[in-house]
Order: sequence, then C-alpha cells, then structure tokens
Amino acid sequence: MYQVENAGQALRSRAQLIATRLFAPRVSRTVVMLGLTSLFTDISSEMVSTILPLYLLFHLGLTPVAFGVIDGLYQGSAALVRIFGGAAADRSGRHKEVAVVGYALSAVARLGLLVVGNMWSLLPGVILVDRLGKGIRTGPRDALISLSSPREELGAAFGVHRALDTAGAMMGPLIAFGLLVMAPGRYDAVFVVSLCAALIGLGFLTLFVQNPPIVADVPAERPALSLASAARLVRVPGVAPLLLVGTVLSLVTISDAFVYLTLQRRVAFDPKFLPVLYVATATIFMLTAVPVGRLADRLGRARVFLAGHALLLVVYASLLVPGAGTLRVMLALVLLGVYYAATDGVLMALAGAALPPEMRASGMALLTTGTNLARLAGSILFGVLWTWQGVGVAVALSTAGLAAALLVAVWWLRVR
Amino acid sequence: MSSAPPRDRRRAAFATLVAACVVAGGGYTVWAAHRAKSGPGMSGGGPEAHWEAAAGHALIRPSGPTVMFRNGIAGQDWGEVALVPTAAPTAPRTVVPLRCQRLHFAAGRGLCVAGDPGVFSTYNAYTFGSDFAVTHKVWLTGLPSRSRVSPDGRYGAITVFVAGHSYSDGTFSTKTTLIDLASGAQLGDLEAFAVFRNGQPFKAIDFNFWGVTFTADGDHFYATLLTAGQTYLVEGAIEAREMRVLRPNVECPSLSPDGTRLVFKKRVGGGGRTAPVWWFHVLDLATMTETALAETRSIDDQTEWLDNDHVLYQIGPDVWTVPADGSGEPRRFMRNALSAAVIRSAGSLSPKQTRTLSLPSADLAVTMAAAPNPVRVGQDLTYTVAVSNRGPAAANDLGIDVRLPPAVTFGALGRRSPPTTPHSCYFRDGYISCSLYGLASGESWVVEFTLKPNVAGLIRNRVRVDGTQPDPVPGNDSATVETAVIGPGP
Repeated sequence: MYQVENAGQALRSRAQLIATRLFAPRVSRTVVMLGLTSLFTDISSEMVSTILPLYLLFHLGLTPVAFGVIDGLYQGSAALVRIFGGAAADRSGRHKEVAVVGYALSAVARLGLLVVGNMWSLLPGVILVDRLGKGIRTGPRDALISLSSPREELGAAFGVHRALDTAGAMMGPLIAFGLLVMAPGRYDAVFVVSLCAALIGLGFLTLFVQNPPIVADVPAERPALSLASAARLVRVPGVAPLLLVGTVLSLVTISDAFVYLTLQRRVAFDPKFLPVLYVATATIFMLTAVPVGRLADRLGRARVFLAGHALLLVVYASLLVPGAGTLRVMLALVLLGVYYAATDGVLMALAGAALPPEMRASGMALLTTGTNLARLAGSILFGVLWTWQGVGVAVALSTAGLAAALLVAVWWLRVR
Repeated sequence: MSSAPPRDRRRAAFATLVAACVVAGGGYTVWAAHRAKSGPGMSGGGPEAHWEAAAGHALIRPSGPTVMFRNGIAGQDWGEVALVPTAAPTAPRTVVPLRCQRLHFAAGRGLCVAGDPGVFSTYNAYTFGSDFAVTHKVWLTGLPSRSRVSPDGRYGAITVFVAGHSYSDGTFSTKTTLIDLASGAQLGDLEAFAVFRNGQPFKAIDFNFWGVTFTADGDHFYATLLTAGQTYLVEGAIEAREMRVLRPNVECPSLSPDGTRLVFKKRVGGGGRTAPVWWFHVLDLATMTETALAETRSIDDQTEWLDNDHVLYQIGPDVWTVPADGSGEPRRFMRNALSAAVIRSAGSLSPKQTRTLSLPSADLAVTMAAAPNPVRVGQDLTYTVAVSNRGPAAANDLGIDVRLPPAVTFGALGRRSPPTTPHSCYFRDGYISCSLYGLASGESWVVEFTLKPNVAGLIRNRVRVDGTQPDPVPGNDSATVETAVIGPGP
C-alpha cells in the first residue's frame, strides 16, 4: 500500500513537473504583471462592450446603425494612433509611460460613461477616447513583454500574457450580466465596477512594471518619427517577410462571426447559442496559449505559426463539407482556439526576435496595424462575396486563398 | 513609513488601491441593487406614487385618444408602461405594472418586448390584453428593434437584429416575424413570403425586412425590404403569404389611421463610412407623391401617428411631433418617454392595479436677446438665452432647443452661467440643443451662442424650453427674436 501510494506520488510529481514546464513556464515578473494589467483592463472593457448595445438601444434610445458607423470610423483612427504610440515609446525609450497613458485614457473613458449619463450626445467622444487609449498602448505593451523576456522564451512569455488577457475578456461579460441580474437596469453599477477593474489594471502597470534596463539607456540613435524610420524598420532583416506574411494571411482569414454563422447554418442550432461558441473558442485559446507558446520556443515559432494557419485551413475545409453534427462543431471550435494560441502571441514573439530593441514598439505596432487592417478588409470582402455569390462560394474562395497564402508564407519565412 | 523600501510602499499603495476599488465598486453595486428594488425617487421634484388596487374592473376609461409608452422618469416607475391622454402629455402618468423595452398596442391587444439580459442575451416578446396580464410568450433570437400591432389587434410584428452584435463590420441582418396575438403562434418569418416585382418573382439571399405597418382590413401590411444595398417599400398579404415591391428608398413606413398616407424615412445622403442621412417624408398612396416633413434632423425611427395630421417619433429620451403634411415645425411632445403607441379605439383598459406618477409643477420660462440689431451680413450675431424656474417645485431634466432659421451659419456656443449647473449643449442638423440636469425654484441659467447671417433680410429665431413636469404657465416656454440683417458694410 505504502509502495503503491509512493509510486503514485512519484508519478504525480513527475506529471506535475511536466505540467509546470508546459503550462506554467518561468516567465519574468514583468510579463505576469503586464498579463494581470491586461486581465483587469479586459474585464473592464468587455464589461462595457457587451452591455453597450443594450445600454444605447434601451437605456438611451439610440439606434444601432448610426452607432455602428461611428464605431467603424474610430477603429480607423485607432490604427493611426497605434503607430504613433509605438513610435513615441521607441523614441523616448519610455515604453511603460506610453503604455500607462494608453491604459489611463481607457480608465478616463469609463469615468466618462458615468459622467455623461443621459447626455447621450457626448457618448461618441467617450468611446473615441477609449479606442485611442487601446491604440496607444498595444505597441509599447507588446514591446515591454518581449524586452523583459529572454529571446528563447518569447513564445512562452506571449502565451502567458495572451492567456491572462483572454481570461479577462471572458470574465468581463459574466461580471456585467451578474451585476445586471442583481441590479436590473442599473447600467451605472456596471460602469463603476468597470472603472474599478480598469484602475486595478492600471495599478499593476504603474506600480509593478519597470522599463527593462536595455531600453532605459538606448544609444543616442533614437529613431525619429518619420517615413524614413519606417522604411528603415522594414529593411531590418526578417521584418519585411513577417509583415507580408502577417498581412496576407490576415487578408484571407474569415472573421469568427462568419465562421460561427456558417456553422450555425450547417448544423442549424438555435442562434441564441452563438455566444457559447465565442466562449468555447476563447476557453481553448486561454488553455492552450501557454503550452503552444512554449512549443513554439522549442520547435520554431515560424513553424508553429504556420501550423496554426494549417489548422484554420482544416476548419474552413470542414465548412465546405456537407453534413452536420455536434462533434464537428466542437472539433472546429477546438481547432479555432488552438489556431489563436499558435498565431496571436506567436506572431509577436516572431517580431520580438526579429526587431532590434530600439525599434520594437513601433515595429510591433506596425505589424498589429497591418494585420488588423487586413483582417478588416478581409471580412468586408468576405461579406460582399457572401452577399453576391452565397456562403458556399465565399467559403470556398477563402479556403483556396488561405491555402495559397500558406504556401507563399512557407516560402517567405523559409521554413524547412 | 517614509523609510520603507520602495517595493513595500508600492505593495502598500496597490493594496490600498484594491481595497478602495473593492469597497467603492461593491458599495455602489449594493446601492444600485437597492435602488433597483425600492427605487427612491429623485431628489427635489421627485415623483409621488401610490398603487391603487383596482381588481377586475375597468379603471381607465379613456375619454379620448391615449398614448401608451415606456416611462423614462427616474424612480421606481422607470421602465414601466404608462399612459397619458394625448391631449395632455404632461398630465400625471398612469403607470401599470408591466415592464417593456419596446411596446405597441391596439384594439385591446398589445406586444411587449422585454427580457433581462443574461449570458445568452435572450429577449422575449409578451402578448397582453387590456388587463395588462401577459397571455403568451414568444422567444426572440436577436436584439429586438421594432414592434407593431395591427389596428384590429389581430397581428403583431417584431423585428430583431440577428447579427447586430458586431456593428463594426457595417452590415446587419434583420429578421421580422409575424405573430397571431390571440394564440401567440408565430406566423413565420417574412423571408419565407413570396416577393414579386413588376409581376415577376423576386428573390435573393440577402433579403432583409423590417418596419412593418398594418392596414385596418386585417390582412395587409407595408414593410421595408433591403437587398443589394437598396431599400424598397413592399405591400404584403398575410393570408396569401406574398408581397409585392411598390417603390424604392422607403424605410420604416407607418400608415395613417385613415389608411391614405405613409410616413417613412427616406435616405437623402450619407452611406459608406459616414452615417446615413434620413428625412421623414409622407407618401400619398392615391397619387404616389412624396412630400418632405418639416423635421430636418436625420432620425432613425418608425413614426407613430398621433392623429390623422401629426406623427410622433423618438429623439433620445423624448418623443417629438411634427405635422404630417410638410407644414409647421417639430415640437417636443413629451419628455422621458419611449416607444409611444397611440390608442385610438374606444374600449376601456382594466389593469389589475395602477399607480399615478404625478410630478410637482414647475413654471419654466425662457427669454432670448440678440445683439447687434441690425446686424450686417457675415457679422457675428450673438444670442443670449436665459432659462429660469419660477417654481414652486424644483425642475428636473430640462430640454432647450433652438431651431436655426435658414440662411444663417452656426458660429459657436459661448459662455454658460453659472458654469457649475450640470448641462450638455451641442449643435447638430440645424438645431442647438441643451439638456439641463436640474434647476431649483428661483434659479436661472444662461447660455450664449453666435450665428452669422448669410443674406440681408429678417431673421426670426425661436427658443423653447420643455420639462417633464407640468407647467402652470405654458405661455412663457418659448421666446422669439427678430433681427434685421443689412447688406455687408462699405
């Protein structure tokens, strides 16, 4: 009995060791703190964004279409601000301070939601401030993660950050709905708690994150805010292919909403379960971000990045095959979640390895902007195809496009 | 403490922050939950309410047309269905215990769209009778947008946004369902109806329908069809389950009580990455001629006919009205009311219990002055608007509007005093609008703005103030100023 128990214990501890290595790798304190910052900030922003349509429509009597147009415009302005945020961080070497400005702007926007109240004409301004804050902080934050991590553990570092970030994004809506169940119609309570979460996130960043020393004393050669510096950025070996691959692959990516809608049409489940698909994908993403990031560090990040897109290709191809089944939906969701784990943080890890420290924030901002704009263009394109040619043609073309882009990407990234 | 190492101090600071946030957030939530349950009224000028038990017998015998709406006055009756005579919109509101987010009612049957947001964001539509008791429940899959009941109370129509959660991709998908209000049965999605255009079958995968308005004959309706980026007016027959396309560029039609005209929103500009611009138009069904209404703001709403000559529509938290023939000018009909439905038919309403929401009266007054007079073309013309509350009660939530005359260019909003009075002012679509959170009895508030006249002549400018509470002296709620404009100087 004693022996068996002992053996079991040994097995358990060995399993624990493997689990610890794969699921909780040693990443720097700064990365964990940045992850916690994102976790609380995402709780805050997702709380607001899930109830915003309800709030605008039912509390303020605003119309969704008008709001949608405004929202689209702001996403464009956020892209510009993102590049500016990255460049400002690189120029000053003060990544943390620039990120603080971005996170603080979003916290101010939460306060704005409370203060604006029934004066609904001021709401677009408040939302703009939030989007600007989000734009500013992305580049410096990702640069901080990469600068605080050893080169060989970048994948794991981004994995930890993305896992925490996604956890926050999943908790936000639950907290918001919980509050509305406790206090029906009291949106102000959601805004207050959201503000609190934003402040705690800001607290993690300001109090526990420091600029890594390599950034603090960068040599005199600080990139100026100019087109020339952007050109120099692209000339850095390994950056241009990354930018091209990231953009082209994003262009042929179908937005999740369309994937879910296609699944829903294939399997014909009640549309009210659509949110469950989002939650399922996010859960898989959260659970696999760290191990897949770690795997990327071991096997090669480009390989894992492309393998992730290969999984996506499987998802698209499965959408083309007729026939239905819950199992297929579940498989598609798992693959989609792993795809995110293998691409989202891993792309930034690739960029972190390729970009010199003094150009990292602006380079990462440029890469994020490129992929985001390409994804937006791709989803508009897909929507048009869907409308004109029907869902079958649209998915088939996207699948073919993704396959072709993947082949080109293998060649560009020289993956053997 | 000052000698504590920075790390400890940071930890202490963080602990303080978290503690403060938890206390503030938790405390606020508890308070909000308390307010949601017991709902103390607003301070000063708050509503006084009491339930009147009225088991079984007709309590409300409308002497004339009545407007039913979702009450927007803060307090315990917020969000409940309320009624006032159309002739006296600031009269005490009769509140019935039914909470709806959108509602419509005709001939003894109503549709109430409600639902507490949950993880699945489910909304339900409830059918109810003249006793306001729920008779049936209809599950909705999407964010509900509009609801209408046929004049005979037989049918209901509900539109939901199916893919309306992500507005940023610019596209949206709607689903409109017809409901038999007597049985609660769903008569199907309008997308299942056959559509004909110029006598030929017309079909595309991207059909979207919304904005149903029923005729009085118990079988026909009008609605909006969107396909390939173009909206159309369709006329449908419920028994035959078919529709035919009548004309393009008609959204959210609303049929007049006499059945001769439709008021609808016509797209006159915008699109792409800019907000669409709609203007209300009236369509004479006999001659098929369109006339623009006097409301020049772009409004995304399906109008409700107040009578055969006026329509009601929503701007922010308020209901506005404008003549339905292109004459006159828009005017606030009532403040803090949503989803107004006009009950025309005789017949009594017999809710099991009601509350009366009567607000204390406050005499609002407004004056306006302009300088210089005369003014030259292109010169700044400064207006000073002074709003005062002559009591007796404090006034909550006032709206001030100036509709700019043609041939002037808006300059800027100027000084506001006292600046500490919470307010918001903006200029949009030819209107300068201000909201004031509250004004104590005897208190005044002043706002200035400038215009530039473009042509010589006479400028007539009018300002109006509207409150939620009854106003014993309505004569001083608006002021008009005339200014002579002379040609540009030498």
